[in-house]
Amino acid sequence: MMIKRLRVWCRGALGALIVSALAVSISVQAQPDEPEFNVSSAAVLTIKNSLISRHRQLIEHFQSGVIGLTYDGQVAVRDAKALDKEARSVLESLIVEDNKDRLTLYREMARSNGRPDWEGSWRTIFAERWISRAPAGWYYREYSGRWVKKP
Amino acid sequence: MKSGRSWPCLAAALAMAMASGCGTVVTFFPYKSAEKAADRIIDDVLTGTNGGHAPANGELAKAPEPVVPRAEKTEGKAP
Repeated sequence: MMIKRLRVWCRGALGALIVSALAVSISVQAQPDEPEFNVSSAAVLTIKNSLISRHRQLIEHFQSGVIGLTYDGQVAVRDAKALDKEARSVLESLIVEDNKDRLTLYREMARSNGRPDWEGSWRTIFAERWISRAPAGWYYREYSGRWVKKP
Repeated sequence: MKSGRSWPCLAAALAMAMASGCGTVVTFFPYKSAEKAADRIIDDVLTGTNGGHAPANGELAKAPEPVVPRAEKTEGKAP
């Protein structure tokens, strides 16, 4: 009696295991090969050019540590006291424009590659890569709010 | 009768397995490719080039000198 019941349960468990394994293998096969993303759409190129031209004005402030990158893919003022009022105002407006462009870039990367729902993932990737690719000596702000100088 | 008990279990396992399989496909994000694409754009911005190759050692080229505006070139000339 007990053995028969055990055998039935074993058969059920085995069936479930096989079905699960099949489903997992199907899902793994369904994942496409890593695609080559398009980085040359008209919208992306326009934003990139805008970022490039503004970066020429921002680079000295990155190098001096007046501004830095943030954990969420943006730029922020780190040491506002280093500048006079007028220079600070100019810099802040540049940063506002730069941050707008950065957000548009993340959105356009998602949209031009056919997955607008991946905007958040793009932002996460860019946030990480901006910091990773930045030269030594630049500052970045962690989630905790702490500024760190890149070694 | 007793073997009938395993069918609900099997059906539940099937539903869960299918759901987990579908979830995997929907949430799949090609991290490595995205990282490469992001690096290409970031390096172009940091080096001030448009479509240049990423520096291998992570060092950045110096940004090119800004173009002098046309108005400044004609400064000092007689009207």
